[in-house]
Amino acid sequence: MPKLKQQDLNRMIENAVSYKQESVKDDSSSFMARCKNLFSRPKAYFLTAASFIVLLTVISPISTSRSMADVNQIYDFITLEIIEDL
Amino acid sequence: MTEDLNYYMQKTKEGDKDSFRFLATSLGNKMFATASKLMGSNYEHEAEDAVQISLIKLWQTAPRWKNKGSVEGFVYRIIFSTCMDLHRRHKLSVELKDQDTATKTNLQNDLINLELREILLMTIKKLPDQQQLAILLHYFSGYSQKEVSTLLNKSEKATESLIIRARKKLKNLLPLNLREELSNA
Repeated sequence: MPKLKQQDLNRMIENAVSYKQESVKDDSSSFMARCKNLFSRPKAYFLTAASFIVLLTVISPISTSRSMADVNQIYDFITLEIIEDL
Repeated sequence: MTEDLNYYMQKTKEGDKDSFRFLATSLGNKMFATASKLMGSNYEHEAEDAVQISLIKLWQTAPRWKNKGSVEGFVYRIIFSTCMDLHRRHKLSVELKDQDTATKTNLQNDLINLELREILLMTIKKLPDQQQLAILLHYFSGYSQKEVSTLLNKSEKATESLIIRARKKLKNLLPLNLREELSNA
């Protein structure tokens, strides 16, 4: 096994400790940290999946009905309303 | 030993320089041996650089350490990523030299060697976390299977199958030409 000379290793160690250590802020109370914490938990996968399915079932009929709505029907409806107003 | 290192790492995390000195002295030679294997036997100087950079990283990032895995695992991951960076930089400098000077054959061999080594390291990096660490500790840092099992907190049988699976996966992930190159070596 290749070895380092003890004095070289000591020099490297002293060089390393001459640097400043990172300061780690305790951000466990911040909103983002709490969100991250919540979604990193396995049980949260179920919640995420469930909310995704709910979103899909609610949003897709709305968007489908919007895109499927006949433009002519809307015009007819508006025309009717105008006639009624007259 | 591992528990001792965890204690000293915890103290290092709190900024205790003496604990860091103890850690670095205990792991320094193994770090150097690992770096030498990762960098290649012709690059002893780069291996020394890798140890120096890794010690700085270890000291600086110690406050981020969480007492979940082994200290050795944490340290060898740092060594691995440092060697990858040095490899890339070294390869680039050899490529540039190639354009400047005309000492062709040596440099070309150097470059091929570096490229093969880089492919190997990149492939190891693609392995799942535990397999990567097992390969790194067993083949590059020279820990026995029993020691690896202690470091990974697994049974010996589980570690053995982990290493076998990692080797199989590594074999499948490696490009065919490199597999031939390695089997000829």
